[in-house]
Amino acid sequence: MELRRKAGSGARIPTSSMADIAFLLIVFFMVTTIFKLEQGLVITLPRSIAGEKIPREKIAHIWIDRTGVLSIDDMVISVPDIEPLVLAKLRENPGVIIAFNSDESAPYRIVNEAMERLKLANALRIAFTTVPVEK
Amino acid sequence: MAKFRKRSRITADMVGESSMSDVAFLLLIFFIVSTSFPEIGLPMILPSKAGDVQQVKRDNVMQIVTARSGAYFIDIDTEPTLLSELRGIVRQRLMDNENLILSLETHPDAPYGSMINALDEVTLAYDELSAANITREHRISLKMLETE
Repeated sequence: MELRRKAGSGARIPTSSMADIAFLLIVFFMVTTIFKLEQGLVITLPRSIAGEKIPREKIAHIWIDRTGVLSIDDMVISVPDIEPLVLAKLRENPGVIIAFNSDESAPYRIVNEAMERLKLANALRIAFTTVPVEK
Repeated sequence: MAKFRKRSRITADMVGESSMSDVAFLLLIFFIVSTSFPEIGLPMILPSKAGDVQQVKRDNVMQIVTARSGAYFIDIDTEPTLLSELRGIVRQRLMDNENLILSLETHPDAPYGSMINALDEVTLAYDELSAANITREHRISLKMLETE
C-alpha cells in the first residue's frame, strides 16, 4: 500500500498552466502574422440597392481608381495586359467572375475598355462590386 | 430518489469543466478561419465577341443615356430624367413591351458611378416586376457612346 501511494503522487503533470501556454502561442502567432493586403487601389465603391451576393471563391478582381489606373493582383497594369492575365485566371478557374472594383468617379471609358478586353479573353461573367444600401 | 441524485452527480463530474474553455476557443478559431464575408455586386453577362450581331427592332429598345455630367436621358429626350423617376419609367415600359431591351449608353467621360446607379434602378425595376409575378427576361446592354 505504501509503495502505491508514492507512485501516485510522483507522476503528476500540472495542467492548470496549459491554457497559459496556449494563450502564449496564440499571442505569438497573432503578433507575427502579416496579413496579405489585397486592397489594390484606394477607391470609393458606388452604392446599389439591388446588389447580390457574389460567391467569393469565384471572384477575380479588377481595380480601377478615380484617375483610371488599372490593377490586377496588386500589379498596376495597362489595358492590353488585361487579356493575358484574365486568360490565365480562366485557365485556373473556368467559372471565374471578374469583379470590377471601380471608383464611382472613374471615367466610364476605362471601364468600357476593360470590358472589351474581357470579351476578347472570353471572360464573360462579370460583376460590378458595390456597397449595399438598405431599401 | 437518493440513488438517482448520486448517479447524476457522478456523470456531471465526468464531463470535465476545465476543458470547456478549450472547446470554446477551438470553435471560436474555427469560425474565425472559416468565415468569409460575401461580396455584394451587380452581376452581368457580357456578350461574346464571336457572337453574331443581332438586329433588333427600334421599338424594342429603350435607351438610357448617361451624359457626361451624370444626367440621364431616355431615348432622344432633350430633358433629363431624374434617377428617382427612372425605375418607374423602366417598369412601365417593361410592362408594356415584353421584348424590351434596355440599352444603357454612357458617355466616355461620365462617372462610372452614374452608370451603376442607372443599372441599379433598372435591376430594381426587373425585381419589382418579378415580385408582381410578371416575368421579364433580363435584357440589358451596356454601351459606350461614340463621340467625335
